[in-house]
Amino acid sequence: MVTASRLVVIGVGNRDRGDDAVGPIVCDRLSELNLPGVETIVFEGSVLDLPIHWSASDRVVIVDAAEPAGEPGRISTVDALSTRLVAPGPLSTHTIDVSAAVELARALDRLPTELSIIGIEGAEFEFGAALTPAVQGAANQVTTIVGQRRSRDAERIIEL
Amino acid sequence: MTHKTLNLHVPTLTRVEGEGAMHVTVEDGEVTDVKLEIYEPPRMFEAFLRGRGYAEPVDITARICGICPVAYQMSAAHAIESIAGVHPGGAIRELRRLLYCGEWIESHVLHMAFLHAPDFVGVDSGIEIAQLHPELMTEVLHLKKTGNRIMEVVGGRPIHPVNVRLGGFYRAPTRAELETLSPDLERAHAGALALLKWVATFDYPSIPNRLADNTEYVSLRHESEYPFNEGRMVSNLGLDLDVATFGEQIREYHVAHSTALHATLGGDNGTGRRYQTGPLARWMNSADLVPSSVRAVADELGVAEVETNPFRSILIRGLEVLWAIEEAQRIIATYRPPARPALEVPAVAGIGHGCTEAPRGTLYHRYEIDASGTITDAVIIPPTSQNQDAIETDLRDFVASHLDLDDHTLGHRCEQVIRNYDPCISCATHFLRFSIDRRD
Repeated sequence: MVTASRLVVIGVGNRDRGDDAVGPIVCDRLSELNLPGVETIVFEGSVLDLPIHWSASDRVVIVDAAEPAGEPGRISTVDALSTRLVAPGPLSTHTIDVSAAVELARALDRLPTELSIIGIEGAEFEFGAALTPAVQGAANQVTTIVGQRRSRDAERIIEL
Repeated sequence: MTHKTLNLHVPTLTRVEGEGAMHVTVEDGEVTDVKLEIYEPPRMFEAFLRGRGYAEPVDITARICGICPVAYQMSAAHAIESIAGVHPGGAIRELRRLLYCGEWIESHVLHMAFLHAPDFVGVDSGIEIAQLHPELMTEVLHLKKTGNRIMEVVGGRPIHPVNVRLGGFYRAPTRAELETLSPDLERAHAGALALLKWVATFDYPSIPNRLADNTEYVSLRHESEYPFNEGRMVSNLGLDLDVATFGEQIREYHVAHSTALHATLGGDNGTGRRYQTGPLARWMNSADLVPSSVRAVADELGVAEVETNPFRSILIRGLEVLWAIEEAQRIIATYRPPARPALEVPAVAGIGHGCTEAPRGTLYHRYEIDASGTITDAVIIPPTSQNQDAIETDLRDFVASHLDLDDHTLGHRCEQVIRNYDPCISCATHFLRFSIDRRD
């Protein structure tokens, strides 16, 4: 029997800050789908300890809101295994972002089998605001993409 | 005689919680001026609180800081509960201590390994330390995660806990929920010991003729526990006051170069006594109250009951992490859920004071409430405010005794002097720019 590696989906963001909630919301939706082999983790605070939430055999997708650049809802994907992220420099508690956490994992030699970072460009980050429509649509799209990816993986295992 | 003027800038000081600026003037070999400049506009939390309901500060003040929200919640709760004469005990009190353990662990570990240790190792960041010591730093991350997990299980989430209310909690965790923390705590204990032993290998600079050695080290002291939430305010110079009287003795004053108020005890800028709070003060006033297991580690590592070298504060933080882990284990082992998760706290007109020990020092709150439960006045004095005079004094003495260093090295060392206090200036500052004006 062939066992599929675990797919870990990590949603980063503050649920109370408008479009910043998109990562956690994607995780919520994937959890509702109850897909086998998929684990979701929400980070609402510091992501410093992110590298110890996966193992070497995991495939990991990190979903985070990206800063506004004129195209709300735009989805960007980075393969963090093949791309060295912007060096965060000396850390402070205000600059421990996903990039710093991934580079920390690289320094610790704790990278997973696959590591994708999906950025969804946000527009509004006000306290208490809901997702803006464009980001809402992108959240649906990312949920579907990640869910389908797991389904395809499952089919491949069955064929084997 | 030559008159040389040098301006040295560190445009972005990292590895402090917040941002600020610093200026040092040296004339003819004498340090004539030191300013720790905090220039961001005040955040107005005290003003926000006026007119709000008496139950709201527990949630509102938690938003002041993402690193030490529990300290704000606890100081607010104790201050307001004291007006109504409500003093939660038993399991509620234990849960509050457990929540505080989580905050101390995650805050201290972050500061030790990622903000302060790079100074001693001679690198710029925790990532570089991770390359040098991957196994140790993996355990550090696990320690951080353990602190966050405690906050999550007891407080509802790892940052800005939402389960805290006046009188206790909205929901008390079950015993089974707390027991899920035990494996993490066991591993964390070993990790904390490893971190401490590594930190103990550092070379510690000193400050010859340190004026601050004569300063007053102030902290809570409880009759039988290392302090979190309760006790009297004491010092190494004989201070012994209840929290309310202590609060009345703090004098805040404004200096032109900082938007954060400075503080002295028992007088104004000219007559008040300079004092400092934080790990050195807690250890000095309550080291006899830690369990023998922690005391034995301190002895093994050569940590005395009185430590005044601020560079060695990182060792005390490590011992406090170890203690917090053991305290969390003790609380979980004996935990029985309370009959009710919270006591009722009625609206009572009056003035209440609260002091609790944030990771970086004593956090004081004072509230005045009318009979309808509306807050009419609020005062919040964070530890960094209280420590500003001590930081400036240390900077002055350090520069005076290290003028032989080149400006670059001196700048770095001065940042380290500031980091000794783990200042939480994120509430009030942007970035630290260092400049030194030498006139030889």
